[in-house]
Amino acid sequence: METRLLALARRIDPAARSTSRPERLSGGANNETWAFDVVAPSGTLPLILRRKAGDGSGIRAPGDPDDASIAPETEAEVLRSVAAAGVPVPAVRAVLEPADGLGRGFVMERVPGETRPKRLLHDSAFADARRAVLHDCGRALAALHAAPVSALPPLRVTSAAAELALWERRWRAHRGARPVFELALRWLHAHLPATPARPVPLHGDFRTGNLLLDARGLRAVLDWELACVGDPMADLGWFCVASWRFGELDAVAGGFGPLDDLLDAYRAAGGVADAERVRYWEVLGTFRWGVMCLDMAEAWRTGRDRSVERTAVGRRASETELDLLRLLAPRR
Amino acid sequence: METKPGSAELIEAAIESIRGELLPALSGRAAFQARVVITVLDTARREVLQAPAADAAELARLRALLAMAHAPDGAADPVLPALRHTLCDAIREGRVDLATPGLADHLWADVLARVAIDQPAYPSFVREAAPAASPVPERTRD
Repeated sequence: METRLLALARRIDPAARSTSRPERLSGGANNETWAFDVVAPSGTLPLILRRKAGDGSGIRAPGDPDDASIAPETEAEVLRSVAAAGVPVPAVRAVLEPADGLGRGFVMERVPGETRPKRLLHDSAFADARRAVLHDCGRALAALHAAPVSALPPLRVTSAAAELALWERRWRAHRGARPVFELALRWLHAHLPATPARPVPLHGDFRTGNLLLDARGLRAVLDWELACVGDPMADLGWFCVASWRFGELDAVAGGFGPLDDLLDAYRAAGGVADAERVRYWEVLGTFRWGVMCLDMAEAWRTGRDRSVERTAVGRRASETELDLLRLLAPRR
Repeated sequence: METKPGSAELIEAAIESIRGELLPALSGRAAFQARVVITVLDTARREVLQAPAADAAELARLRALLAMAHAPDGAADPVLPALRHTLCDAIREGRVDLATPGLADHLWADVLARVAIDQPAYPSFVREAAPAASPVPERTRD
């Protein structure tokens, strides 16, 4: 792998002398992430290689029509276009080609900072960052949502009705009996919002865990593989799902603070926010995460991915039932 | 006297061994994997200990809720899944909703019992399962 990385590095800097040994970072469900440095006379360039999991182990079977993730080449193009729109993202330096022998993916700059939610939410080193981050997120989302759809590569167009249909269908496929999910589905059908007049570019997985912060605030929004086009409030609602608050239960916006702080920053940056629709997407997102947990357990059961983690995540479906009850039938 | 180790004890012994003997010898990805293994074993241990009572309580509530108090007695297992599906169908078809007396109480009791097995450290559970006398302090912003 290191020989191939060096050849790749020379496409970025022809004077590259060597690369460090690549270090596997804990990646997402469908992608591997590797950190490595390129050493050149001009200095050391810290990079990230993001590529499709080599063993094909994802939550979705290959060719699953419900697989909403975009190709890595498309993701690289999305990163370039949203960077031009003013969204903080890592700069793409190279897109893998078959001749590279490294699979499918791309190389981007390694932005210094932290993504681990518990560090970000509890470590005193990030106290200033925590005060700034909702403002930064509001601006980043407003910039993304203001970008013309035509400035991005072609992406899946979705809506609340389409997402509800998708996740209800996937839930039905499990043939489970969870009365809280049925209650949530009734509520989601009864409160389905109108499709906004202007669908906009969405990150699709905007949440704590995919945000990179340094001591001052948000430095980069990562993991764009679920980018799509739809209701801008979808990104804000998903950010509020309780599972991404990592212990900061009352800090609705990603564990960092109140939703109003995010909405204020979003509006100040030109976005049009609707708190009711954010709540709708929070409920739909909570249900979606519950079904995703079951999907991950199913990936283990069918043998597609036998990692023990998948079974542990499968048991997290009940947390979403609890959070749905807190949203729809609060006790106090 | 019967002294055979029970399922919960076997799992507890496995957890103790991984935590005390194996984990200290591991690092990096292997250590991370070992912690996940402890997590799933702990869930299994809690299920062995808590599920029988949780299932019995759920069955009793479902019978009352669905006015099936005269359903035949017997082992909980064959009856419970069917009643769960009956309740799900009733909610899906709109015959039972949050205005139905007892539904919200049943759902809360059910979900709390399940999360107590699956993830007792989950923050929403810690909050909701805590007695009202010990409110969780407001989050302080550094």
